[in-house]
Parts: sequence; C-alpha cells; structure tokens
Amino acid sequence: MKQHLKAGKAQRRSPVVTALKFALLPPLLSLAFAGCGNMADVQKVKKEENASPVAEGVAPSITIGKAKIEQKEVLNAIRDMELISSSSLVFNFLKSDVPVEDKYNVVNAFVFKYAETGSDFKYGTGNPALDELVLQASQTFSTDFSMGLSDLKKTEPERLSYMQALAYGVAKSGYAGFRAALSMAANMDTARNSFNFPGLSTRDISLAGPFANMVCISMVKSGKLDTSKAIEDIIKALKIEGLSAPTKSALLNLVKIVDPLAFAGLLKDPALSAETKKQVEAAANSVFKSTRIPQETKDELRKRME
Amino acid sequence: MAYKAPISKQEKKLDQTVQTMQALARNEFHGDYVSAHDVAQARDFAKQYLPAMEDMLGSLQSLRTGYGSLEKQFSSAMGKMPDWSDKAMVYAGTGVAQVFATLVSPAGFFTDAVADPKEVIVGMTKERQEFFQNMDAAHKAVVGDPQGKTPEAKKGTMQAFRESYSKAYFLANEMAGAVLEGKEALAEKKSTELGGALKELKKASRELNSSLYALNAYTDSMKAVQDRVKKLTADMALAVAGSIAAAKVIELGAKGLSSFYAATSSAGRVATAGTELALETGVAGAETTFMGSAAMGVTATAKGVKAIEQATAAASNIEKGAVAGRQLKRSTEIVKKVIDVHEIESASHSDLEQSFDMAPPSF
Repeated sequence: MKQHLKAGKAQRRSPVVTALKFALLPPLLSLAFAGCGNMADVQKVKKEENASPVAEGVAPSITIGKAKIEQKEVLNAIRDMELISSSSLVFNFLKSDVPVEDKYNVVNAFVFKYAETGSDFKYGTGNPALDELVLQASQTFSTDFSMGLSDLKKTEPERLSYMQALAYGVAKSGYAGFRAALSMAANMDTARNSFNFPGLSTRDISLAGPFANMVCISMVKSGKLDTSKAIEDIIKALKIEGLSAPTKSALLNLVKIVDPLAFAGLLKDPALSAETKKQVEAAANSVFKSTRIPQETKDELRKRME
Repeated sequence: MAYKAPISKQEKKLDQTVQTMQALARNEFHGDYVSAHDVAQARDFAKQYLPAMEDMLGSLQSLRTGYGSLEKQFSSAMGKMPDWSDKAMVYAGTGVAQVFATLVSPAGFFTDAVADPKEVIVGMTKERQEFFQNMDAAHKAVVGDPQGKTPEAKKGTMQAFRESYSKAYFLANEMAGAVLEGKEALAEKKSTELGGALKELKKASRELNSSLYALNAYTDSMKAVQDRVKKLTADMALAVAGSIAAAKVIELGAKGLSSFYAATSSAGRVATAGTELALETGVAGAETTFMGSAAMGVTATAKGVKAIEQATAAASNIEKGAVAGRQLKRSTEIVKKVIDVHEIESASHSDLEQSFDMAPPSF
C-alpha cells in the first residue's frame, strides 16, 4: 500500500500532471472530431445531363495492386461481360477518387446494359442493375451513423462521389429506384442497433437518409417521379409500427422533397399517432424556413394548414 | 479457442493505483502523526484526478477486451470455413442435377414454360466455381496471401489489426507508465504517438470488419447452399421413386435449381429480395428487409468492432476527464436532449439542405 501511496505522491509532487492531461487533448480530439470541418476544397458536381458512355481526352483510371484500370476498360467490361463478372471492376472504379462525372458516365452504361439483361433470375426489384446498386449502397451507407454529408465532403470526398454516383444510378432506375431508396431509409432502425458505436456514431440518422434524399431530389428535378404515388408510399412507410423518431424525420424529409403540400393532409390523417403528428408539425414548420422551397408553395401550405 | 490478450504490468499497476485513489477518496486512510499531512494531500489529489485515472484504466481495459472480442470473431469466422467435404457436397449437388438433366433431356419433355436445364446447369457450374474462388479470395483477404501483390495483401487484415493493436496497447501502457512515474515529457510524447496509433487501429479494425463481413457472407450462404442441395436431392429422389410423370419431375427439378441458384448466387442478392418485398406487402418489419438480413449477418463481427470503437472512444475521454471531469456525463445529457422532436427535426432538416447541395444531376 505504501508503494501505491508513493505513486500517488510522485504525481502529487508533479504539478505538470494537469498540463499533461491537456497535452493529451489534441491527438485524441483529432480522433473524436475527425469528421468535422469546412467544405471548401471539394470538387463541384457540374455535369447536368446524361454523360456519354465514351470517355473523352485522357481516360481517368484507378490502381488496383499494380494494375491500373481505366474508365474505358470498365466501360468495355460492361459492354462485354455479364453483370456478375464486371461488378467488382465497376464498383472498385466507382469507389476510387476519379471525378464524379466519370462515375456518372460508368453508372449510365451500367444501368443501360444491365437493367434488363443483368441476370436471368429476378430478385428484389426485378431490375438486376438496380439490385446491385441498392446492395452496394446498403452495405456502405445504411451502416454509417458517424457522419453527415458535409463531414463526408470534407473527410472522404471519394466516398461522397461514390454515394452521388449510386444515387444517380438508383434514380435513373425509375420508380423501383425510389421505392428501394425509401425502403433503405424506412429500415434505418434495424441497422442502428448493430452499427451505432458509442463515442463515434454521433448521429441518429445513417447515410441512408441523405442517400434517399439525393435519389428523390434527382428524380424530382428530372420530372421522373410520380409524386402522388410516391407520397402514398412514404405515408405507408411512416405508419410502420415502432419506427423511431429519427427515422420518421428522415421519411418526412422525403415528403418535403416530393410534395411539401402533403403535410396539410398528413396533419389530418387519423391513422397517424399523436407523436408522429408532432413530428409532422415540426417538419411542416421547417418548410417555412427552407430557402429551397418556393414562396408560393409555402403560402399554399400555410393556407391549407389553417 | 480465441487468443486472449494478456494484461500488462502497467495496466495492473494503474489498476492498483486507481484502487488506492478510490480508497483515499472514500476517506479510508488517515495516516499517523508523521504521514497525516501527506495522506491528506494524496486524498486531495485522488479526489481531483480519480475520474481521469479511472477513464485511463477503463480505456486500457476496453482496448484489451475489444481486441479479444475481434479475435473471437475471427476464430468463429475461421471455424465456419467449409472443408473439402462441404465443397464436395455442393459440387455433388450440381453433379446430380447435371446427370438428371442429361438423362431426361433426350426424352424431349421440355415445354416453353420450363427453362432448359442444360443452360441453367452450365451457368450454375460456373457460378459454383466463382463462388468458391470468391470465398477463397475473401478468406485470403483476412488471413493474408503469400502470393499477394502488395504487402497489405500478403499480410491480411487480421495480422494488420493485430499489429495495430500491439502498437496502440504498447503505447497506451507506456503513456500510463509515464503518468504514474510523473514523467511529463515522456507521457506527452507517448500520448501524441498514441493518437496516431489509435487512428491506425480504428482503420485496421474497420478493414478487418469489412473483410470478415465479406467472408461471413460467403460462409453463411454456404449453409444455405447445403440446405438447398439436400432439399434438391431429396426432391429428385422422391420424384423418381414415386414414378411421377417426367414433365412433373422436370418442373420440380427446375424449381429446385432456381432456388439453388438463388441461395448460392451471393449472400447479398438473397438478402436484397426483402427490400422491395417489404413495401410491396406492407410488412416492412425488421426481419423481412435487406438491412435486417445484413445486420443479422454481421452482428457478431460488429460487436467486436463495437468494443474496439468503444475503447478508442474511451481513450478520447482520458483528457476530457482531465479537462472537465464530467464531460461524459454532459455528453449523455446532450444525447438525451436530442430526443426532443424539434432537435431531431432540425438535424434532419440540415441533412436535407446538404442533400440539395450535393444531389446528383437531373437526367
């Protein structure tokens, strides 16, 4: 025991211990807050229209081991190979740090080739290209509760562009793509228990939420979404029993994108619980603060809510 | 049996010191007329720094037990690897189907409604080979491949993780030892090195998790393959023994082949089937969805990673404890507040605004 007291004394005699504790701060804080920061130095998505499957100028490439894979090689693989054979090449390319425009280019070719002919056997959505995109997106984004898009943009820009490319492909797959994205968001609670790491998982919403947002925004902008059908499906998902509040809020984000006026109807829906209605009300109020939603839509919503 | 990480001398010493500090804080020692003053000072020290020292001890313990958990998951994943007899069973299943197809094919019973079994089987045999090749590749990613092209590939994710752990645990011990001896400069140096080592450990644990995920996906679907093969073989034997009409047998065989293919195509593909089904049938419950399947498949591995992540998180609390004493408690209170509906909505809305900025283009 004396020895222990001696150890205590040694520390007591050293007033630097307090300073030492502060000295521990920088390296460890850098772990805890690795995800925070500005978003200035990241590439901007510029390409607006369908990209041609043929690359122009110098082909972007990735390196796997010693071999360098070029975009053209990936496109040729899509042209010549079955989905199951080309898949790893395609998704390795999409995960790499090539420009996002080139990723859209490859996704275009992928969806074009495999939407109908990817496999003789139909699973999930019935669209093999979409199934593969959803599978890859689920593994990567549904399990990540550690950061939002701004953090991703700062710390892992290549993963953000991977997410954008997959969202683009899912959006291009039509209404089945919307439903797959909605399903990913609606099932967020299932993953939360397994992938929520105390101290590191700082968010209640996984990246599946923003991913679904991206899919919806792209579809709505393109005028390719049946909005009334979409709202029906979102409401159906909102009524799933036992859904957590963060998951509901992620679903309500989709309502904001698809048709904010639907909030008026949701507030009167007798099938929604009082708790859910509180969330609907909060979401509807945030519509009025949003700079993304046109003023006339806000006015109309206000009118309908009165 | 999984490898169990030993406890270091520094961790034992730190544990004893913490116990002493706890006893002092509880006023268990008062000292005699000579030592009373020193004991009082030690008590003041103990009261002030006990939370920080407890956190440091906790982080060392979590680091070690977290490592042990992942070792356990690794052993479990290795235990699930199929041996030659498992592989033979799958190939035999394919062979039975091949013989079956060859026998009945000339009989000319096929109709437009039934796929040509020959076509299915040619594709299926190729699938089996790819399945095992991919499983071997996933196995090598974990345990390393002497023929690998890169040093990382040669080493494997498990070895990389073990090395990262050793480095981090060693540095954490050195830091704890320096703190106990009051060596400020050394402790500061080690804490800086520990920051980098913990980053590496976090990365290595995630890479190990990812490769174990892939390996488990193959070994888990291997079980499904075996079940399907058993069912398929039983169906066929029953059909032949009962002298059922050939057309009926073919139909049954085709059904078996289809489900056989579904089971072996890949673990993920089978799981994906639930995604659309959930909304389609209005029963989007946890068990029937993709994430349900995926999450269940990796829960065991995730537990190990979770422990490591907790350890790194706990390490980050060492200095928090020193700086503010009750940082962790405050964090918990903040988390509780987030439950508030409006805060959830606010966080979620912020996600939406960022999504608008970063959404892919229209098409």
